[in-house]
Parts: sequence; C-alpha cells; structure tokens
Amino acid sequence: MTRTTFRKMLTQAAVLFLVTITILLVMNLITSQRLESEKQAGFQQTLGIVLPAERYSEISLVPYLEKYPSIKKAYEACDDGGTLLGYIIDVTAETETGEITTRMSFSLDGETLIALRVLDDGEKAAENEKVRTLDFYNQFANIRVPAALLSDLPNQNLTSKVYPAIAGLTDGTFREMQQEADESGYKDFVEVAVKDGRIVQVTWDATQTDGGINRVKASVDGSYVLSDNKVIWAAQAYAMQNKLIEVQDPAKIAIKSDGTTEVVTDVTVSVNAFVTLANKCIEDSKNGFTAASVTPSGETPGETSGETAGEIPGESNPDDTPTPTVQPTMETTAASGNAAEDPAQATSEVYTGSEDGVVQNSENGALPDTIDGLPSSSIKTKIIGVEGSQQTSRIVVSTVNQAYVFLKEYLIGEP
Amino acid sequence: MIRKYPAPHIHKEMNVGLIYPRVLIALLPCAAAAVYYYGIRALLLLMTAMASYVISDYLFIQFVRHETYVWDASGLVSGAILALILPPTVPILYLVVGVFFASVVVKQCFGGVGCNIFNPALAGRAFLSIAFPAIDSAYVQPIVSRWSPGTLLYGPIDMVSSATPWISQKERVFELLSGRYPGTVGTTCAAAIIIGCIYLAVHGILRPQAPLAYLAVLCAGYWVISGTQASLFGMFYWIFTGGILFAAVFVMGDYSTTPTTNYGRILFGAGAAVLTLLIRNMGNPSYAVGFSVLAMNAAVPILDLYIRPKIYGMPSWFSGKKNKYGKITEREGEQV
Repeated sequence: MTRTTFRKMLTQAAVLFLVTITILLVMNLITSQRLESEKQAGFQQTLGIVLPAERYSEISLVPYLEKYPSIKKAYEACDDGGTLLGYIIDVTAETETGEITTRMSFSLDGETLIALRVLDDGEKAAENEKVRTLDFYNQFANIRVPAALLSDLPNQNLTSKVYPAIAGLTDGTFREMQQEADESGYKDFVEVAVKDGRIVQVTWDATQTDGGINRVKASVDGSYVLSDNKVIWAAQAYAMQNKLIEVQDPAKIAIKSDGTTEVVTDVTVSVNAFVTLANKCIEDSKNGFTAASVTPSGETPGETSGETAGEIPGESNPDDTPTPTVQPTMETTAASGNAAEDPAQATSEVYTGSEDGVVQNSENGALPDTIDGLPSSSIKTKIIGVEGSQQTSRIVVSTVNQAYVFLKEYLIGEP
Repeated sequence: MIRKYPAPHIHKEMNVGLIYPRVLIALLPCAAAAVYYYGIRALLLLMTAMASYVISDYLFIQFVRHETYVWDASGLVSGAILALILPPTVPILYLVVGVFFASVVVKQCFGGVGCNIFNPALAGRAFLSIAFPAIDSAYVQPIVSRWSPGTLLYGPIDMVSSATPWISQKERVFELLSGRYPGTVGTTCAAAIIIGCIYLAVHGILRPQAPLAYLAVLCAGYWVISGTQASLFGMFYWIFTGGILFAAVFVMGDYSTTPTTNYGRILFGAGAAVLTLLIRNMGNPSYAVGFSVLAMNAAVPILDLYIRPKIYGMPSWFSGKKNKYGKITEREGEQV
C-alpha cells in the first residue's frame, strides 16, 4: 500500500465517519422528543401506580450494582416544574418458587414508604399472586420504614397480649421535662402521645443545657458513652419507650433501688427519670394539658430530635427534607390497633411496681436480633403477613428494607 | 502527460493488503453508530476484540506454526465484526474467549487467511452463544449511561429481556434506520450498514450475488409468511433487524467462505435465506442469521464442486469429465 493510497483511505474513513455521525445526529434529533414523550407516557402508566408524577428520570445504578444487586431500577419522580416528589425503586428478590419484584415509592427523605406494588411477572407465580391483594398493599401506604413482619419481631408473644389502657386519658401529645440538669448537663424529657385513650408513641431523650446535641444523637454519634460500654443509651431509651407503649402504664415498669429495671433486658441505665416524667405526662393527659401548654422550652413535638418509639436513633429530621405530598403516619400495629378493635381481649394482668419486687423478665431486649441487616430497634412499622404466604410476605417486606437502605445511601451520595 | 505502461492494461487494485483495510473502513460507520449508542463500552469491546484477534493470530503463527507473521488487516476486520455482532453487555473475558476461538480454531487451524471454511467472526459468535447462552438475553437500551465509566466494568445496566424492537408495532422508519432500539453493538443501525455497503460496492469489493439473493429470498419469504398482514414497512423491518442486513453486507461478501462462482454465490445466499426463515420462525431468532450462514459455509466446497465456471472455448454445459460419483477428474489439458 502506497502512502497516497493510505492517505486516500484515511480521507475516505473520515468522510464515512462524519456522514454517519451526521445522519445519526439528525435522525436521533427527530426521534428524541417523540421517544421521550412516549417514554414518559409509559412511565406514567407503569410507575404512576406507586407515585403519580409528570416526569420520571432514571437513576444510574452503576455505582451501586455490586453492593445492591437486588435493586433493579430506581427513578426520580418530578412534577411539572421539575420539583422532586419522591423516589421509585424496583427490587427483585429470590423466592422459593422463583423471583418476586416489588415496586415502591419513597418520600424525599427516604423515611416514608408511599406505596408498594408486587409486579406482575407474567408467569403468574401462584405464591406471588397471593400477596397481590389490596389489603396487603394498604399496609404499605404512607408508612415509616424500615418495616418488619409482625411475626418476625422478637416481642411477638408479648405483643399478642394487650394491656389495658389507663382510664381517663385525653388524646394529644404530652411532654414533661426535668427542672434540673444531671451531672452530665442533660435535662431528661419524656413525650407521650395518646390516641383513642391509649399511649401510641413515647419519646425519651435529654437536652443539653449548654445547647449541645441531645443525648440520643450524642450516643449514636459516640460522644455520649455509657460506663458499662455495652448498649448505647439511645437503644436502651428506645427499648423503654417500646415497653411503655406495650404495658400502657409507667407503674407496671418495676424499678429497683438503684434506679434500674429488670423489666427490659439489656437496659442498664437508671430509668427513674423516665418513669417519673412518664407519670407526669399521664397526669397531664388526665388533666388535658397538651404539650404546647406544658413544654417549658416551647418546642413543638415535631421539632424535637428525640428518640421516638420506632424511629432510627438520630436519623429522623423532618425539617431537612419536607415531603409535601406525603403525610407519614406512625402506626404500631400490635400496640394500638388490636386494643381498639377488640377491647375484650385485654388482659387484667397488672404488674406491681414495687422496689425490688417481682418483675417479669421481658423478651423484648434493648438490642434484639437484626431484621434484614437492620437492628430490630430501628423497625418503625409492623406488617401483618398474608395468611398462608408468610414467607412471600416476609420477602416483600425485606425488599422494602433493602430499598430503604439503598435509598439512604443514595441520598447521602456515597456509594 | 500520458504515462506508458506495459501490458496487461486491465488492472484492478485487489489484494489482501487493500481489501481488508477497505472492509475495515466500511465497518467504520457501524462502529461509529455503536459508540454513539453504547459509548465507551462499545469502544472497549471493539478495541479489545481487534487487539486480541491480532495478538492471537500473531502468537499462533509465530509459536505454533513457526512461520513469519505477515501483517494484514484481516484480524482487525474479524475482531471488529465479532465485537459488533455481540450484545453490549458481553463480559470482556467472554469476548476474548470468542476471539481466541475465532482466530485459532476457526482461522489459523485451517491455514490462516483465505483458507478458513467458516466465517471466523460468526463462528466465534456461535461458540459464545452455545458456551455462554446468557449473553443472548442481555440486551440494553441504547444511549442510556453510554458515557458512564462504570459501564466499562459492569456493562450497560438498562437491561431489556430481548432485542425485540418495539418499532415494529409503531412503524417508525427513523428509528429503524438509525437503529435506536435494543440490539447488538453495531448491527442495528441500517443507515450505517448501507453507507458501508455503498463504500464496498463503489470500490468493487462487495460481490453482490450472495447478499442480493439472501435479501431477495428473505423478502419473498416475508410476503409468503405474513400473507395479508404483510406491509412494506414490515418487509423492511424484517430485513433491517436481527443482523440480517449486516450479515448480508459484511459476512456474505467474505471471499474465503463463499463460493467462487456467481451461481454458487446466488445459491449460497438463497440457501442461507431459507435456513434463516426456518430458524427465525421455528427456532431461536437470535441464532437465525449466524447459524444459517455457518451452515451454508459448510456447503461451499460442495457448491464449488458442482457449479463450475464456463471454460473458455468449450460449450457452456462442459466443465470437465466426471467419474461415476460425479466428481470432475479431468478437464481439457489438466488433471483435476
């Protein structure tokens, strides 16, 4: 091949390349807009079932492929003006009979599951079809995540018992705070939410008098360490909150002479302040004093950074990520729902809160087993599985938790 | 100024040193479309396939056949074709295995350039389809994440279950021509293939008999099979998708794996088309083009045996004396 021929070939190659690229650009310019509108129409049909929006854009999963192989697709949903409304995630999990794919939408902060659907796989796997019911789907509507199947939680035996509520409670949120700080500079406060005459939500935390971060956050961050160096304070507070929701009466939490309790295993801190403040909240409720009227600092309940029963310690901060389209609801199914439905089931078992008295050891420890890699203490919502399809229900709930963990990492921006 | 040359005065620049570079140039539009749609992943596949093919050829010739390696662009052409007919998600390791098979087993073991019976790229593709069948169900949407560096490691991730284009239902001519639908790396863009085809035809490299026979029989088959539902768009969709057009231009024009006579090439193309129709309608459409062409590659020696060119000065029906088995044993002035 001569140099002239070589040069000629190079020129020909360049011409062919330019012609091809020009044709491709022109053709794709013509088709792009049409394809995009068709794509959006398709998205609205398929993704709109979990989060209606005007525009959807796919999130690149490349950096997350290795760590989250079950996450198959992720989308951002926006309104007309381009404002982000939430996220949609598809998760595929293995089942005994094959695979199951769930599609779910999350709020902007990733803390609330807006809706969930089990996708039709086309093969109509019988097991998958069983969980594709409206009743099951409704349990996933606007709930706080992570979630767990009720039967998977370690306190299932106890939660099946429903303790009677204290008579005369007024609905509302009640808050009490210690007047003086302890030696660490913290002032404990307890917040109790009453609904339908039952305690449905409890918060136990402490504010620092010098304006520092609350004790829950500090213990999660590692700046507040307990001397026994076992279970962090936030986890112990969480366990106490759950116990109060369960037994409905602070008097049922027996306190020993050193201020600790054996009612809840793994709780080693003094619970004197908690029980005292909880009792005051109960009195407030009986008297109809709401949080706004009794809180010295003037904080509204939503602004506290405290440890609310069922929330991940230190992660909840609704002010940072407002979710205008979502109204999250906090429901502890076993604790509040059953009693209202069937008060006759309520037992008359009463614990005597005597010092060093007979106390019943709880199976609901401060840090029980993990669920889907998340500590049970972080579970915010309990889901009742579909009868006869517990395993598939469990997998569906598991996909929610996988999507939750992925979304958290995505929102932080560090794969 | 008129320059004088001795006879022969009919001269055509046709040798290995020029044909393969020109085929490579003809493949450039397809490669450009591949990179346009699948970005750096396509570029990586093309570069890897071409480089590993040349290296494989070189190593085999130098160290197994103990001969001197003579450079030609055939390795680049076969490597590029193999990369273009694979899905963009194919793992690099699989690609290298396919290249090794195509280079060593299919080409060098048969004697190298011009001696191979089967088209190396197609044989490599068939080998990968059989050895790693998952690659045939891993197609992706074009353009999505084409410049994401992560695709170099993991491949494009916007998977679709098959390469079946949706454009067939909507009769989208531009999409069909531009190839903007899930498919193999470089065989979906009909416009690019047509540009390459024109280039080859202009330079006299493309022997049109086999491609034309192939496409003609396929078109006829479409009208017969579709019956009243047949349409012009449907016919173009039929021949522009599934790698048919690419195979017609870049595979059926291969000199060493197609018959030497015009009639032979027509039969070759027609036979491949019939097999393609059969496999496409009754078997796995992913294998339709590749396996039908490979099957006809195997039939090339037979076609060359029975379809001989007319011997100059002899009646057209004469092509030599045949023994009782039909084999030509003697022609005028030569022993066969």
